[in-house]
Amino acid sequence: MNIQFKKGVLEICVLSVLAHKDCYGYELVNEISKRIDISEGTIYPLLRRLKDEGLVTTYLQESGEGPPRKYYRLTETGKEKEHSQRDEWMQFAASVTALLEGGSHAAD
Amino acid sequence: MQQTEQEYLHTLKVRLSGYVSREDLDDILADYAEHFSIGKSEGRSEEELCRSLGSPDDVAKEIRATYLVKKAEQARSPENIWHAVMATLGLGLFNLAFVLIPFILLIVFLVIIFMVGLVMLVTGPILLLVAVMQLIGFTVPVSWWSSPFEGIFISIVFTIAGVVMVMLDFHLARTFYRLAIRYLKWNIRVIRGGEEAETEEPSPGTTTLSRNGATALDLQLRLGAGEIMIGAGTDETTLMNLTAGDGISTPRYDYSSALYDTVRKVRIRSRHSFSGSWCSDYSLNIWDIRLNREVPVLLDINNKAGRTRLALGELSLSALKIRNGAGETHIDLAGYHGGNFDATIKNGVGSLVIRMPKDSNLKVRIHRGIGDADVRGFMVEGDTYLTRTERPGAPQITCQIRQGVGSIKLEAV
Repeated sequence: MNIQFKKGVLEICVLSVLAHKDCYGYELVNEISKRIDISEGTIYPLLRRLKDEGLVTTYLQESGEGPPRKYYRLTETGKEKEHSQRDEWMQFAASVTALLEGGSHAAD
Repeated sequence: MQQTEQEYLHTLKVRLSGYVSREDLDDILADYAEHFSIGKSEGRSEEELCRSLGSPDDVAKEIRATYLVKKAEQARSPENIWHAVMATLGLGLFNLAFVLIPFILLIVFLVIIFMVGLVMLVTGPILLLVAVMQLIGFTVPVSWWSSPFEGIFISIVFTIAGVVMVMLDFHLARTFYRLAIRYLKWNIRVIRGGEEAETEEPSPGTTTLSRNGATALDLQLRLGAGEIMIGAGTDETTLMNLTAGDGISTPRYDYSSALYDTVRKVRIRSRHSFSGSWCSDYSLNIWDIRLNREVPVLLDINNKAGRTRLALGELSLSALKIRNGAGETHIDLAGYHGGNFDATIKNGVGSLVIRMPKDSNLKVRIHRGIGDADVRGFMVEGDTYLTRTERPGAPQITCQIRQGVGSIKLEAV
């Protein structure tokens, strides 16, 4: 898939995963790279930016094994943003799909 | 590609030092250290984790750009915005036209308005002085106005217009500054360098291509800089063995291989990265290619800079095209007993040494540039060098040599 697309939607993907549950970094990266082929390392800078923008906060939580892990949680602003971006995306995706399918009919 | 957690974190640290605060740096490194530690506890190797993380240089570039934009936003200065623009540019060539051209146009526009305003601001009071002097009774030959009062009026309007323009310019500059910051942020969010896109799969250090019924090989190499060594030395079932890098790190390259009927076409192109590959500091671009001596090869090599050493005597060639930009080229065809072929050899800057098989029908033309030519073992016919043999089945080789700057040593042995 075109890399330009990917980066644009990566933010909404991260917000969306975090809307379901709080995650630690590794878990979040795995969750996303399972579905989207991406350089995993770039998700951490994105998380930092989201934190800077006040969309997520972090907290440490003990894990069964090893040292405590850094968890990411959506803030209220983050939740709102996730909501509005999801709506926007759904509409956009539906329009593009309709257009592409229309285009293929026209070509037939 | 050998990669360890330590190397990854070290590269990241080096690339970020001086850009982000000590605290942030520790925090960033801790994120990646956590990633490694959890990954390893799930049984993944450090190398595998490095591979899926991608290049630490790309990560560092992105963090740097974000930080510099933030800095430019908080402390407004031409220097800070410049750094921010340059860092965003560093994310990939794709941004170049997007960021730099509007940015420069904008600066030019603001500077012009500022200059015009400044000129009006300075000439206004001077004109006012002239008009006042005329009013007092001095004769100053200025014909822009019919009376000193009109002169006073015009000069005051001029001054005010100048002040307004300069103020407006500052206001515009502030607004544009804010817009530029938003623009840069958008760039960081949406656009990702094309270079980064290609890092998902690192280039393998060694590649083995099995013969699989191929009756010919068409090998094209396009390399930026490095040392190329090509020779015979595979087993019968292998078509090609490729080793890239010095065993510690691997240059980045694109590799494609496809079979057309029974002709195997291989294309290798080293990747030009805008900022160099992240391991470029300590990597050596050494390319060692071993070919099957029975399969005829069409060899097409373009090396921009570096040494090219080809030991082709034991191979069978169908064509040879060599282009070396700068560096030494050494081609050894001594003992060649494969098929007939045509060769073109172009060398830019650097010495060229060619050894050819005497016991064959050679026809060599040299276009000499600057430098000596030392030719041995040939018959000379005008600017053409020949060898003749009556031996049946002796190969016929036609060769064009074009040399730029540097000596040529051509020998039939």
